Amino acid sequence: MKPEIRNEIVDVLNGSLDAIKSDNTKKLRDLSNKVINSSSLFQDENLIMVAVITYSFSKIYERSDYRKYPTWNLFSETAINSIKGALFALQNNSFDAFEKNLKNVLDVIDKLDSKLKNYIQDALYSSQVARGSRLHEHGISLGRTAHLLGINQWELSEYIGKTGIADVKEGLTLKEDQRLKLARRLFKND
Amino acid sequence: MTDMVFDSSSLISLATNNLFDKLGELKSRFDGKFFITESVKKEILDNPIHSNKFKLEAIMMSELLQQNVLKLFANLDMEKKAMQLLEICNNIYSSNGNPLKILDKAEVESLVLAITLNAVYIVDERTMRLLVEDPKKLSLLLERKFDAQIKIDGKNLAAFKSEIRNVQILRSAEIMVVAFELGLFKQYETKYLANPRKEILEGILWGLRLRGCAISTEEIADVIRLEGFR
Repeated sequence: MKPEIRNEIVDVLNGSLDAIKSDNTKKLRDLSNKVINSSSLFQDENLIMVAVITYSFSKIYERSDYRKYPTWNLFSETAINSIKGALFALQNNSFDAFEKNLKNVLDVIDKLDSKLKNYIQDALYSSQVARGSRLHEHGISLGRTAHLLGINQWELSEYIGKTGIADVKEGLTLKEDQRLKLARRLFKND
Repeated sequence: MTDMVFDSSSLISLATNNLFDKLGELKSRFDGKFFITESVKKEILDNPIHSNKFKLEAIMMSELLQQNVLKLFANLDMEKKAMQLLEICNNIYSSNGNPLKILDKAEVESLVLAITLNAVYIVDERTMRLLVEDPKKLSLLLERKFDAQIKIDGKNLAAFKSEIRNVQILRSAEIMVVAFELGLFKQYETKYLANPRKEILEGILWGLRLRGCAISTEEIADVIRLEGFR
């Protein structure tokens, strides 16, 4: 792992721990947004995973109603302990242990009661798509983004269509009349 | 005779807007063939057929293949060429010495097929279109989004330009505008719409845009104006 990636992950995980402890979901979202730049640049799977998990935590922790479910404490304690474990592992350059700790967050989902399990699975998947949209916004193609996030292009297209990505000024190339002229010529409608 | 090569992005926009029947009708008026690569088939048919959400679209896609509206083009040599071009594409831009991997193999495979067949490339995805049509603009976009200086490798860009020659790009939007002009949406001109033709055209363009076609609000307005509507 490149030192700059490692340092960025350490910063985000430290910040995430503070944010969870202080119930600051906006900070979680900001941390995830912050890591998007380097996720697009380095396309490192651990960095992307951290961006997704942090974003999903912002969505999960902002829903106070999730906390009434019997296995909420199991989820929350596992999340906090996994972040602590991942941090400790990274600080000691133990990358296998780091990955194992991150994976614990995903593994605990299977042990949750069915409703909370569904909610958290949904939050995680939606976060993958949302983070994918941000990567695409940075100029990474749809296919490349879907590949990096392990999601399908269908979901990503649907999400991206509802954003303003198509409206950025750099996205304009040929004039519409030129493109239509070609289309008409091909279908003999000129 | 010109052929067309469809990328996943354009077929996804058409599928999610239920416009495959229009594609079929257009095909019957077209001299050439509509091709897809094996990777595109995987993305638009083989993968979504196993999901619940897009299973129906995948089934409808299979009918397009069955009816030869879309033809599968499989060629091993093309895969090798796609890998070479992918390597070039993903080493054109860099930030602080880090090459920006902007494209995926499947996308480049479709581009290679379009080049090989001298076909028109149908792609709704923004990054590929920018790289082919205006690589400088893509550089400006990357610079703004990364908030960093983006270096262009002149040698790789020249190699890319030489490979793609004069490949032309259309989006699903332009194809459906022609379908509209040909009267293929006429059955929707009902008495329940105040300004049927304009509303149908807006519906087509916004439907495609909101389901993934990278056409801007400004471009949609241009099309509406070019078609004679205010």
